[in-house]
Amino acid sequence: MKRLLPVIMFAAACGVLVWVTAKFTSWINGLPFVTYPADAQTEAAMNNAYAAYASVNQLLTGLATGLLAALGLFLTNGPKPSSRGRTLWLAAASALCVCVSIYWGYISSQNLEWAIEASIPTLDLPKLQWPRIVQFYAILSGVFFFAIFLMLDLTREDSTNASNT
Amino acid sequence: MLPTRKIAACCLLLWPASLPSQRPPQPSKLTVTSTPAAADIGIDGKQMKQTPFTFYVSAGNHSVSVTSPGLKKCPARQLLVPAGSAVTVNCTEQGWDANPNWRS
Repeated sequence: MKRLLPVIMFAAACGVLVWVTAKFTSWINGLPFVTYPADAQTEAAMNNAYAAYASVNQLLTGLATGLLAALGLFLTNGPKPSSRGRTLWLAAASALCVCVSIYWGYISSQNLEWAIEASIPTLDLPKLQWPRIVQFYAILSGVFFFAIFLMLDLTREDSTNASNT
Repeated sequence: MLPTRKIAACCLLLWPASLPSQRPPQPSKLTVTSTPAAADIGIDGKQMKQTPFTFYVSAGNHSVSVTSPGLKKCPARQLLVPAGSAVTVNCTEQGWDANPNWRS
């Protein structure tokens, strides 16, 4: 039971996160807006703006996927997770933040598709800006947790090596 | 891993599928006209363009007003715009024309 408790707590945290994220998504998509069709000049500028938005989205999603891969590689190649003790929660938090970032990247691209389909002539809508903000800060938090995890884990290995020699 | 735990993990992964769609609802079109034309349009308290003009708006209630020196009887009024629909409202010197989508 003592070993199961962290797993249950992690699963519960994931469940709460999924619920909060779903509610937040529907709140963002339900926010009111008023805008008007683009003229010929604005349309050309908007196409460039859509492309720039999409490429930043791709960059952030690529970085998040890379970070998740690095985390997996580090965890599977290093010492056993049980010997990592208290630093493992930092890796779990980092993985969660990265997954949240990937999810918001998906929502962001979906909302961009919606804007292009509906010929929305501006990116300055809450449903386009919020997902990107959350995507960015989620990956930033993921990098932060990963960096602390690495720092603590490498320091711990060094001290173990030092005591062995 | 025990089968019950595997089943619980699968249920947790499939849970988001039962949640409502994450795609935003289709925007609606709101056309504001007036007689005479070239009056200032206000939507949700913000001054927008001049009549006649078509806006993209989110589904739901919006406050619409039309003002010009010759049009004094079209103050802000709540309008219900259904998702993906096209709604037209017209302002004359006598006031707003009848429309089933007016809420107040």
